[in-house]
Amino acid sequence: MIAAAAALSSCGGGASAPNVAVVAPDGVLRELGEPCAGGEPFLYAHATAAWRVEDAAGTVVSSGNLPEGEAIAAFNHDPGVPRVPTFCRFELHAALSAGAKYRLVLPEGEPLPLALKDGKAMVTLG
Amino acid sequence: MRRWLLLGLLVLAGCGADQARDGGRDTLPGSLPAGVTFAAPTSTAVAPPLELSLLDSTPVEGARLWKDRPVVVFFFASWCSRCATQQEALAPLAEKYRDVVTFVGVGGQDKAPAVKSWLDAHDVTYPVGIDGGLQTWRRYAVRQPPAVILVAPGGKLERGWPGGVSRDVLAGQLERLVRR
Repeated sequence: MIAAAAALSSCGGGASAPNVAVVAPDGVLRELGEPCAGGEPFLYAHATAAWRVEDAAGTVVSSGNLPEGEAIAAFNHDPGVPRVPTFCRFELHAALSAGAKYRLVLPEGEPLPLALKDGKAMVTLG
Repeated sequence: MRRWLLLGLLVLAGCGADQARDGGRDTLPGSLPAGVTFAAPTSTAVAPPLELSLLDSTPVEGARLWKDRPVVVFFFASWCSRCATQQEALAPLAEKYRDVVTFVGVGGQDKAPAVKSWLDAHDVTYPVGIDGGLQTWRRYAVRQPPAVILVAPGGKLERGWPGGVSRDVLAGQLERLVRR
C-alpha cells in the first residue's frame, strides 16, 4: 500500500518537490527570475513540452510536461542593468533512486544522462 | 413582428462586425484609409525579408505589407505564457489602427492546431503564419518569444523589442508614425 501510494505520488511528475533541474544554456538577455522558455537553439524546451526519464533498461520511470522555466544568471557578475545574460532553468520531479543511472528524454535533442547527487540532479541541455 | 425584425437586424449587425480569427487571408488589411500619412522613419536599417505562409496557406511578403504603411511583427508561440500578456497589449492597438498599421503574427516551434486555438482564445484578428524552419525568427535575431518588431512604411526597421513591449510604449511609437 505504501509502495502504491509512493507510485501514485510520482505519477505525472508534478506533485512532489522538484528534484531535477533542467538548464537551457541559451544566454538570452532577461530579467533574473522572469518566466522563460529555452531560447534558440533550445526552443524545444518550453512549458507543456513532454519529458520522460528512463532507467538504464529503457523503462520509463517518470514523465510529465515541463513547467514554465525561470531565468537564472548565466555569469557570476552583476553588470548593473535590468536585463542580463541568463539561462532558463526548469524544475521537475522524477522518481529516481540514489546510485542508479537514468536518462532524460525531451522532444528534441539527444537523451541526457541523469543521476542523483545529494538527492538532486541537474541536466544541462546540449 | 417588429421586435423580431429588430432582433434579426441586431444579429446580422453582430455577424458583420465579427472579425476573422483564423489568421488567414480574411485578416489581411484593406485599403489604406484616405487622409492617412506617416512620419519619416527614424532608422536607416532595412528590415530583413519576411516571407510567410498564413494559416490558410495564403503567401505573404513583408515588402508588400510595409510598402505603404507600418507593420508590427509579433513573434510568438502558443506555449509561451508571456505571449498571452503581449497579445493583450497588442489587441487594442490592432483594433485602433485597423487598415492603418498592419499587425502580423509569426509563430515558431509550434503546430497549426495549437496556434489556431491560441488565436481564438486570445482575440487575434490579424494575419498569422508559422515560421516552421525559424528562418524569419533568425533573420530578426529572435531567440525566444515574445518579440515585437516595428517596421516603418517603406521597410525601415524602426524598433525592436526582444522580450516584448508594453502597450504604452508601442502606442507612443505608432502615434508618432501615424498622422491622420
